[in-house]
Amino acid sequence: MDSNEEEHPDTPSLGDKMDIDIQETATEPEPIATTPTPRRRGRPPKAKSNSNTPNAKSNVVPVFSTPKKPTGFNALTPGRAADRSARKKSARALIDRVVGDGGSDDDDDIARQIYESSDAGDEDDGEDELEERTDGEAASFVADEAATPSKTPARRKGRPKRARSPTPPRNLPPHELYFLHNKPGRPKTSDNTLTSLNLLSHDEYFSILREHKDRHAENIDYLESLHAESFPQWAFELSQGFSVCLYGLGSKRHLLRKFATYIHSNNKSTKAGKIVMVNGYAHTTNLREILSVVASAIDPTQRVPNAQPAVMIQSITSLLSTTKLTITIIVNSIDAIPLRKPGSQAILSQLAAHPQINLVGSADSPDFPLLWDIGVRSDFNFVFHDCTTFSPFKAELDVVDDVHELLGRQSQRVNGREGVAFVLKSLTENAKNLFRLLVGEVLIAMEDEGDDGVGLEYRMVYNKAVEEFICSSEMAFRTLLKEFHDHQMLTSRKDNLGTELLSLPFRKEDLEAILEDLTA
Amino acid sequence: MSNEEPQGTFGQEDHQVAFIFDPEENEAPRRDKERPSKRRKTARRAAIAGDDDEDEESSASSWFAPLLDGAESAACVRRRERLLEENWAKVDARIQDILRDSNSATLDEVSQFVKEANSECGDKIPSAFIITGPNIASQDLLFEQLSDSLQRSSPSKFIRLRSSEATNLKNALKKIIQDATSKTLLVDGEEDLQLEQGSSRRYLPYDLEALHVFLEHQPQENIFVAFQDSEAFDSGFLSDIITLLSSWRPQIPFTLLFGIATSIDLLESRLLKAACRLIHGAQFDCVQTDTILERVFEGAVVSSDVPLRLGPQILRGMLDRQRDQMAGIQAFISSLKYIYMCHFYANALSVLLTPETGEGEAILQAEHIEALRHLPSFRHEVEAAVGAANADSLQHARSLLEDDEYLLAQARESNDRRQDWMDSHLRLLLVREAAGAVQPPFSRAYVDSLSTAYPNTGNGSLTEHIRRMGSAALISMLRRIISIFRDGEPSFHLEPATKEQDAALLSFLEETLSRLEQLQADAESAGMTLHTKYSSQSKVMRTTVIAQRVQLSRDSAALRDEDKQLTDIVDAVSERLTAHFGTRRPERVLFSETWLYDSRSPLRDVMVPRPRVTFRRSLARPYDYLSCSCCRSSGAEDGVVQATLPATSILYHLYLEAGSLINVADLWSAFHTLVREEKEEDDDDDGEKSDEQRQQEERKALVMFYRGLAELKAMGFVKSSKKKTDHIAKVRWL
Repeated sequence: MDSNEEEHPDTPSLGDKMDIDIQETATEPEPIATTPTPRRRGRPPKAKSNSNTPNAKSNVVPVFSTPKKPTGFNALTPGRAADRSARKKSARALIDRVVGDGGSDDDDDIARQIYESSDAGDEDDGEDELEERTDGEAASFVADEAATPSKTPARRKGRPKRARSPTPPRNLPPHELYFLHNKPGRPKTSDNTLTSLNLLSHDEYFSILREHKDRHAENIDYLESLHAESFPQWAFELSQGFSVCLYGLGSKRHLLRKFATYIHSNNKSTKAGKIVMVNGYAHTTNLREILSVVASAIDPTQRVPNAQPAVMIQSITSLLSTTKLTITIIVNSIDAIPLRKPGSQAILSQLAAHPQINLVGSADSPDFPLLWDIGVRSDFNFVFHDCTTFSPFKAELDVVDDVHELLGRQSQRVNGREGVAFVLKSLTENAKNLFRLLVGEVLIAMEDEGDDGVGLEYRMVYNKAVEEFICSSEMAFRTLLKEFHDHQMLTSRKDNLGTELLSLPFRKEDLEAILEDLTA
Repeated sequence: MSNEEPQGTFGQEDHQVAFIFDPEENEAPRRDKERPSKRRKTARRAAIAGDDDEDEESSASSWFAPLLDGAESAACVRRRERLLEENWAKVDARIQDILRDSNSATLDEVSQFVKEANSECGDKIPSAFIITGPNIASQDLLFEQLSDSLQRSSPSKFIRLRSSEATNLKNALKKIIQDATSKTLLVDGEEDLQLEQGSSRRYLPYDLEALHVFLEHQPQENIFVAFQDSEAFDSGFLSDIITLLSSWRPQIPFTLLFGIATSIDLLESRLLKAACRLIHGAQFDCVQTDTILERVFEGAVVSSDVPLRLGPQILRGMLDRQRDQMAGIQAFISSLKYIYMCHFYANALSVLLTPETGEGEAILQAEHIEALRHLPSFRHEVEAAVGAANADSLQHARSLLEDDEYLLAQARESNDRRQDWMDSHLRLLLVREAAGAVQPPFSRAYVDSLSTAYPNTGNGSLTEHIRRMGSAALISMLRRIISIFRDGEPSFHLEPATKEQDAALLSFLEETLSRLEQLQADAESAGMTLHTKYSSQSKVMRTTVIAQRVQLSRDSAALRDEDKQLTDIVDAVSERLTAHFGTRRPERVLFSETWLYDSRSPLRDVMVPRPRVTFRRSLARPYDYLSCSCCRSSGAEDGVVQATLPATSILYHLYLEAGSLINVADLWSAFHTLVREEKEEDDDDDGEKSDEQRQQEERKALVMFYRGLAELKAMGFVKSSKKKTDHIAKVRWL
């Protein structure tokens, strides 16, 4: 493996690619105020007085057009802009005085200093014509100064530094990196797309995966066996009224299963324990089902009615009080999306707080402690163990769908235009018309507002639908929409004002295709 | 991957939401692999149980593993377990008492208010606002106590509503009626509520009329409705329910209780004006967490009769956590419990921590003695004894090293030694407190006193503080110290001092006190105040102006005879006290390892996880965990990405280099190139590959790429972005 050392210099990395892009664009948008310090170094000592004005480039007007959608933080914070114009004004006032009535020597000096400093910055920027124009009145000064031989080489020397290294400095703290990455301006990524790549289908994914051998399989097994050595300790912690939470990279499903087997083999001797496994990652996970399984574990003959989880908890506690049973609840992925709903964790914690219930959970994301406030956390009474396993998330993730969703391709929804056509075929004429109306409106809105986050006002769509005789009452309208909702052909959300917005979860190209099909 | 069952065959259970786990039902062959190791564990456990048949029951439910390389006898294991139970039960009971007591004042006030409110409130609804502070974890206990005490003082019903249970008005009313009538109704949708078998009328489960009828049969003085975490309730809901309950007030005697973590003003601003007008309220402040913590700390950690002592490092960590993270008193208690568990679970010598040693020696094994001789405190003791180099001490050292019996006898005394050390340490602390040398809070002072020795002279020393005292302060200090030695200190369960030295000190102090009081009385009758040579009044600053120049001169006012006497007393007292308390670090006491716990590492990791650090490490340097040879190389530290890393890890490295927007196409080609090169190197001897093979390789790489990307997404590193096609947005800057 050592031999691939020599490969490293030319191993392509994303960074390299981006670097090239940055270099190409670096001339216009980038250099704002970050560079003056290195440049000043190249100047002869004579110019030291320049440092009186802290920002040599203060009156550089950025050439780049402000991006249409300013994201993140604008480098030109208003405070600084104001500062800049104020300084420009005062500088001009001083110069006016100098030029106009001679002024005293002192004033002259100050003016020169200020002027020099701003001028130096401008000169360095080269393309900045604007500044030259505004300060043109005092151009004679500049000519004099610039002609002095001592200054010219300095500027020449300073110049190469301007083309600063596009690679960001290494080892920046995370917050600095954040600001570095979220500078205003267009994202500097290439325009390559994945169109040439044939995306994976589920079948292909699984058939390749079946043959795949992980080179680290042995190490992963060994790692898991190391974790397995702590089983008695975890069981002890459970028996003392703590809940156990395993976190770290990798799927802990297999490990937890082993742990369950371990507890089970110990339970056998006492016959006073049952184990309930919960798969938090399953899409259909809901508290009612979990609670009813827990209840049936306590007493299979009694059926706890499906009700509000809080009510079910009460019946579970009353069931538990009649037995001596210890229930161990093992939750795979306690931080999975279905369990992130408000209230879910609180209910789980109430379960965990019961002395006859032990809870073991695994957490897969790095932010899981944010799920719990102080009350929930103290109910859970967690002890945490680092259980990094590196095992792949086999059951937890639907890899292909997840990636496609990430890329904005169709995933779980009905399959693009074919799926939509299929669904619409079984619907009434009115429904088809309504969908055509929706697609048309969304496309128009996309033309107007850009591609992302287009939403149609519910009221507006309803009025149009009434106008076109698609429906006559809001009730009927709702019924039609519900059909689309059920097939995930329509999403609705509320904006800040509480207006309901309808949108279609398809890409523009798909929508156009769908519209063609519908009108054909 | 290969450690798993054949690919693609998901078990039925994998996607089930929840199921009852029972491996015997479907014992699959794949679990054979892990069987042997498990057998061994249970086999050993069975062997332990076999040693001692009559106790099999308890042994089976025990999770304690034998220590000392597994050589520990079952009796010792059980002893450790029993010690844990006994010791923790004692401490826990004390903590619960303290918690109960701390709320008693609030409870009384609330009961008082409730009693008076009924006559005062008129047509308004009486409401108690209980400011609990931000520690909502302890609200449970408070409301439980409120419920007990209020129901005891008058015939009444207490209903606790939590924001998670009462999500809307209907649910809340249902809960109120259910709890008040104590009827568990079949809660199945719109089930009616039938109050009595005979009665013909049925009510909706959220109809307060039902409660009204119920109360006609069983009159109650008060129906308390407690909103435990008032901040978490929807404000509209709160206004509604206040209005509704208040409108029923003439029929049903409702009284509201609000638990408030922030302030009443905030609550008021959230309510409708109309609802606020209906409230006749009073505010009650709970004891704040700091005070409770201080008291729990004194009772459970400082107290002299607690056998397991905690060292300064761990205590400081726990106190810091309380202060920095507002972890709440419950977190402190569970940390404490975890420490107890650690000590008895993992320290084989903790068997020595037991007051009765009757059968104690019998169960000790050769391994215990061996372990005792390896302790740092043992080593220190022997070295000190050899260093002293007199006949006795040398004999002591030799016996310790060679004579097992002598060693055991010493070990047996370790309990007394602990008590001695503890008592004298506490007395020192109390004396310093009496002398005003202890900065509150006491918990911090206690922790500091464990870690750093006090200076004998100079700033911060006892002498310094005593010298600064006036005669009256000195008298009260002496009285206090005498009472510490003679009567002990009940709040720390400190017994009166019994040792010879202590008695001598006590008699000296008493005698000094009487002299001092005499002196003071004399001085008072003579109408003068006493000074010592240390008090500042004795020094006079003189400012003289001579020939336009200022001369500063300092001279000591002449001390009178009484002043000199006082000075002598001050000197004697400070000297005697300083000499009495030798400073000894707890870990230096022989065999302190059996009763002292001072290790931060397991507790901190277990209670305050740092998942981000863990994730970052496992992604950036997987070889730390996998300990594989392929990924760790010289280049790995300099940020060169090894192609052998797990896919997620490679993607993470690329992710770190990317900006806020990531082009997936570029990400894929970078990933693919990296993996391909590595592959080609692997199969160098194969020669040129056909296009088809290449194609296959690419698809394989793509599978890994998919998997890595999906994992990054699941961990919240990236999300989809619509800014550009096939781009994803970076959302985490770790």
